[in-house]
Amino acid sequence: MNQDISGGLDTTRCPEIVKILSLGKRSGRLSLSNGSQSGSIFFRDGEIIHAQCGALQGAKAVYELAVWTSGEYRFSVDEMPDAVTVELSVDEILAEATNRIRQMDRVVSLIPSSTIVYSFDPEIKEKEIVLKSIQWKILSQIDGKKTIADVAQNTGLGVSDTMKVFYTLVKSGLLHEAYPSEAESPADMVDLPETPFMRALKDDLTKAIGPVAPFIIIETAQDMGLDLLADDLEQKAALIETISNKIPSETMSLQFLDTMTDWINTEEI
Amino acid sequence: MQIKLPSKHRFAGAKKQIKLLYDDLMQARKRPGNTMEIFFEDLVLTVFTNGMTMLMVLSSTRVNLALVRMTGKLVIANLAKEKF
Repeated sequence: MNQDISGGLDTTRCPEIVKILSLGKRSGRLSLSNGSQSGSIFFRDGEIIHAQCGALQGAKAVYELAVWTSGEYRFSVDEMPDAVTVELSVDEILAEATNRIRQMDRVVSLIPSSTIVYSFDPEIKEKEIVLKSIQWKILSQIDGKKTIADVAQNTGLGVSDTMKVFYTLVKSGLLHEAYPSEAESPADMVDLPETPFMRALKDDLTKAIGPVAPFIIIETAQDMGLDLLADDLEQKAALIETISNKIPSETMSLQFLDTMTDWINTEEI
Repeated sequence: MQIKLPSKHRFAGAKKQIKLLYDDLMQARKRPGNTMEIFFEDLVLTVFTNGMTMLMVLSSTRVNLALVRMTGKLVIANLAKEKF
């Protein structure tokens, strides 16, 4: 059992290969490739000691590789890693991997590929949507051009985790699949008044949370009953302050407040 | 200008109340610059907390309170040496 092994992931998925290598108490490197991505899992005496897939390392990398349904694998005997990043037993990892595969099967039924591009749905039906910070992180990347894989790369999340977040966003009606004619950015889809204040607000908020900024401005103004065209300092300050509370990152929130306070002090006072 | 009040000055009695207010607010703290506005008829006391620091701004209710909150949040963040 010292020879290298190889095959296709369409017939044998990663968890099955891991199980075989674990039972055989093998040592070496399992390399996997699905065409656009590649990764490795290192074994010592049948235990996983290190894994890597793109920016992911450790158990997270194994979970990412576990959901691949196409591509190739190859096991090279006795190749050892420089680092040890996995502390969990193979059984623990396989249990979680099985759980993730089940989740991914559901995700793939709605989002069949990571090459799909999504854009904002301008007709959100829900009255109120509560978002987790990870959903915000993904939403801030949506521009009607980036694929799910692009977003995964930009955010440092695994493709499968990113697809899961997309699944929740599509399910909640925030996103829909972009069509070629929808190459415009979300900022172009929302009509904000062309005033210096709105331009400054939109630009600074876009820096903080990405292209979703115009939506947030309009939604916040509606919630507060504000007129975006009103030239009223009190309203402007209230809008800035309320929006700053919606920025998930504390640092970005303070940066936004700082810049907008400067703007108000320069332009209005 | 800096004025140090003697401990017998009548304002010194406010220390206990201020300390109580700080203790109450610190339990609810989430972000630096978490604010509370306490209205005293025509006056408003805007309180910002961050760690060991509490900033209190007493103003008329006619001032732009949103602007007070915006500025206060930045000041308290800077006072606590928040990196941003």
